[in-house]
Amino acid sequence: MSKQQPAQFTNPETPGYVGFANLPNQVHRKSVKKGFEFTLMVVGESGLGKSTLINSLFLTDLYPERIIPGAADKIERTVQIEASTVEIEERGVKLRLTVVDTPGYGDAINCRDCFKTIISYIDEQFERYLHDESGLNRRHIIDNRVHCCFYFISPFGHGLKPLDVEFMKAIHNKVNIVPVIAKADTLSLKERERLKKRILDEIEEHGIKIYHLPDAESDEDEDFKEQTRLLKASIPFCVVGSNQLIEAKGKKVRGRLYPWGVVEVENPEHNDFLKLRTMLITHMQDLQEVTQDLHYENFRSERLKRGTRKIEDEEVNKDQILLEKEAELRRMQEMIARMQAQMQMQMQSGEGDSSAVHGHHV
Amino acid sequence: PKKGQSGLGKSTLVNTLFKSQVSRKSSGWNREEKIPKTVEIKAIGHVIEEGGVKMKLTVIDTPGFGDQINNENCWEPIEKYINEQYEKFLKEEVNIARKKRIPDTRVHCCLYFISPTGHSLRPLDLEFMKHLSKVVNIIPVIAKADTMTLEEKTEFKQRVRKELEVNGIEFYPQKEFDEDLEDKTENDKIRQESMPFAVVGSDKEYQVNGKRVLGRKTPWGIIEVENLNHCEFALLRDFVIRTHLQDLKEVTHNIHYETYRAKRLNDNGGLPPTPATPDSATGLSLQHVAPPRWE
Repeated sequence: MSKQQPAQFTNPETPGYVGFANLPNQVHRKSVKKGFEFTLMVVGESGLGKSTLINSLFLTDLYPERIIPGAADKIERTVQIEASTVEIEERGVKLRLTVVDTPGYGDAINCRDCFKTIISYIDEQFERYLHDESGLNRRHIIDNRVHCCFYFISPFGHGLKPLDVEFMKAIHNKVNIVPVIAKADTLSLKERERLKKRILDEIEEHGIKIYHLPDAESDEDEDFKEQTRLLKASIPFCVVGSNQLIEAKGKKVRGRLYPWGVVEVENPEHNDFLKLRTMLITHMQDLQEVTQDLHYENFRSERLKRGTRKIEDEEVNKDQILLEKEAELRRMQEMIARMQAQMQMQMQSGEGDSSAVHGHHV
Repeated sequence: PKKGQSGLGKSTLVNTLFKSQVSRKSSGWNREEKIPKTVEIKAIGHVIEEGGVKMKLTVIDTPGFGDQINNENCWEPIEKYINEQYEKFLKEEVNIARKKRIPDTRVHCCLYFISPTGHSLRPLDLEFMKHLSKVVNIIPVIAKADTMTLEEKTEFKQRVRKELEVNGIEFYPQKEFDEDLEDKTENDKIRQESMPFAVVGSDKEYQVNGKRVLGRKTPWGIIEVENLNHCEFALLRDFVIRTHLQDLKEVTHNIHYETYRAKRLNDNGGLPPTPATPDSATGLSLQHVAPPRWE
């Protein structure tokens, strides 16, 4: 089929018009009806502004009855997984958003086992999906796989900490990592640039694979291309979160009020909040696709390979066990034969002495 | 000395306190200067002068503290260093022919930097202060306080004070060492309202209302370090340098050092230790104490 102007094919009266140009609209309607699902995992030490940021991003309060534990309580605490789901609707489009929180991460004095719980959780979701996918009734598979992980880096440090590096390396083949620096209002613009560069250098140095925004397609308009370029250049995003309304320059804005000024959440000159939000929204689809096509497929092939190898190993073992058992049987038979021979000898030599036979214990 | 994870602004603050470059800033860690694998103790001595008064200031930094994945017992090298200084002083004191002025390398004050999470202390903070408040004067400081609004600051301070109290941690000025009612009243106010000081440090100057002030410049305003409406740096400075400097030394000498001395004498059967007797608890004998570098 030759490429001609699409306008020619939208008119049903036009000869040669079949009508499948309407497919995208049909897909759109079905998707909207079905709704979208997205799972976002949030990881970082306590007090880095994670909850505030999530609440700001989705303009909701995901943690209404929250109690912040004291330091003494945190000493014995292990990492927990807390998933909360909200259904958000905007202009008829429904989003079922699950935020997976990981309280306790990075709090303990010894954080060696910090990530086990988190990695298990991610694997469990993959496992469940794999199981459902291989099942008989596949009509309503619920996708609880983690599509994206916001990893919070402290703005107070000089870059990545050993824990940051180890954790990201442990999950970069399982989930899309988006590094975020919250509480960015503690940094001046120069400090921010320096920290971003430092973190990017360290990520490259340690071979950590973070989520890469795909380049804009060549047929997209210039604005979109420019926006994508800007987004890519701003990673990791330095953000400030808040749901408080402050009066600034005559308007009410979301922000934080300090004695020396007001930090506006949605002001691109103050922080990258808008960029982060844009990225998340325009790339939600891509994040899901990469999870499905890359991370899940990796998991699946590893899992299936492991599955068959285990069976082969068991068969090999069975043969070995059989051989060993036969050898043991032979040994026992030999021993019994020896004893019998001994008894025979005793009886023959001690024929005159009956007490000897009786005194002889075998 | 100053303790706290890297990046909490310790070097900048010390420079601001003494208005001179007494602390080498790690300028965002060059490639070669990685986070050390264990806690290091780096002591650098300075001589500073003001109004004809000379002061020998030794700043002891502890890079690597709290930065590892496993931070168990990371306070031990610090406790050891402090005890080594006491040991050194003790050995001089019991010498037959001793110097008129014993060189004093004992740690008079420990600034502990708390991360401004706005939530509570971290388990590591509690453990460190529990162990070390018994051997040295600890002054807890909330670092990079420009990340908290006024309400958040007040709430956080209250929470930290409560946590320290509940866990039996006595920071300087300790209640039991108040000498008289005047001291008690003054110190009570500091203990219950001002501390821990929420500070911001800076070694850069900006023009504000016609004056040059130390501060931090942001797109939404300039944070003035010495403006009490912005942060409590001025309170910390006045407290440590202008009013309580001598007291810090006296409490170190009369209380902490005496406690150490008594324990050592007890361990040694009531006899003063000789250079050969190691400290039973820490296994210290004097061979490996490195004096601070002087600049």
